[in-house]
Amino acid sequence: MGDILFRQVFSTYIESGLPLIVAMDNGHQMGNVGHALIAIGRTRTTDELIDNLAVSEELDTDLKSIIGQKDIQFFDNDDIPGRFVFIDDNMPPYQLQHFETPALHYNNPNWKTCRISEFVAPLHPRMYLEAVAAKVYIKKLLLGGMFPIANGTEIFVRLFLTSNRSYKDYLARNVSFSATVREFITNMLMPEFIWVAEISDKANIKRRQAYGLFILDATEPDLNRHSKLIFGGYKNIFYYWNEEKSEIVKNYLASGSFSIYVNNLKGF
Amino acid sequence: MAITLNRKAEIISRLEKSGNSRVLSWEDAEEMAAMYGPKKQIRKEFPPQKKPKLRL
Repeated sequence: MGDILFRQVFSTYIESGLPLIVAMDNGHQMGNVGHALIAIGRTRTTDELIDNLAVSEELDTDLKSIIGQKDIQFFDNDDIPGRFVFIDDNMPPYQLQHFETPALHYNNPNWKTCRISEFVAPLHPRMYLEAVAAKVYIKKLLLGGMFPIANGTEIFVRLFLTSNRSYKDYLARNVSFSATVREFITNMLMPEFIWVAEISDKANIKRRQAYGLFILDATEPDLNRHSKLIFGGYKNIFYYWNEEKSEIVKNYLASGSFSIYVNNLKGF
Repeated sequence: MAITLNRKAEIISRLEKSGNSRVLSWEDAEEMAAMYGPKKQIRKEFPPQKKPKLRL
């Protein structure tokens, strides 16, 4: 797994509000320091961080080709170079450090150079759909011709994990959402855990607004089936999986723009 | 006592009647599925991490 993808996956699970067990070491400098700590959140996502966010480097060859052909400006929330909140038993709590330098708060130069080598995300045993697969599926569904995306479009994607109940609670109270789409989603049967991707652009995400929404079943083990797609909507089209008939249904109904979900971590 | 009203069926019915809802054909759905590739391919692109070597 490349360094970029490793950092993105770390960020996705942090955005999901999960505490991660992190292993860091200075093995890249042939050192012998190794330590475990906990990552519990991130710093506030400021407008400046969003403005300075660079276009995401796409690793998937199919997606890279589509993005290149359509000249799409693709931004990933997981690329935002903010700092994460670490709990390190050698230090006072809530150390704020970048992913690349998790031990910068140490005085010892050997420790300072430690990098994150592994992390463990505590997931429910039935959560089979991982962050990487969920993001690839959403990106391919969004960019693969199923939605009307014009050449040169700017897209900002924010992916996170949450529970069905928390998300429906947010939806039910979110009056910014189209009433029909909101009612449709809140009435859908969902598993206990879901992946949610909000689609926006830089200008709208700074206003905490999105206009595309994907909801995936995080407990779906079969990556080849669309059964993991609970809802996939962008602008005036949405798809959903009809479980009873095992079929995918395309609908024309505008979702409008809506306030993003901030119940996992405050301070977006 | 509480009751729950579910309007999902009504919303779908309204979309169908207005011609704004259609089931994707088997071919369309297959084409979508084919694009995502089998699990093996994703596993090949994103192999699982090796067992951690922690030195605590």
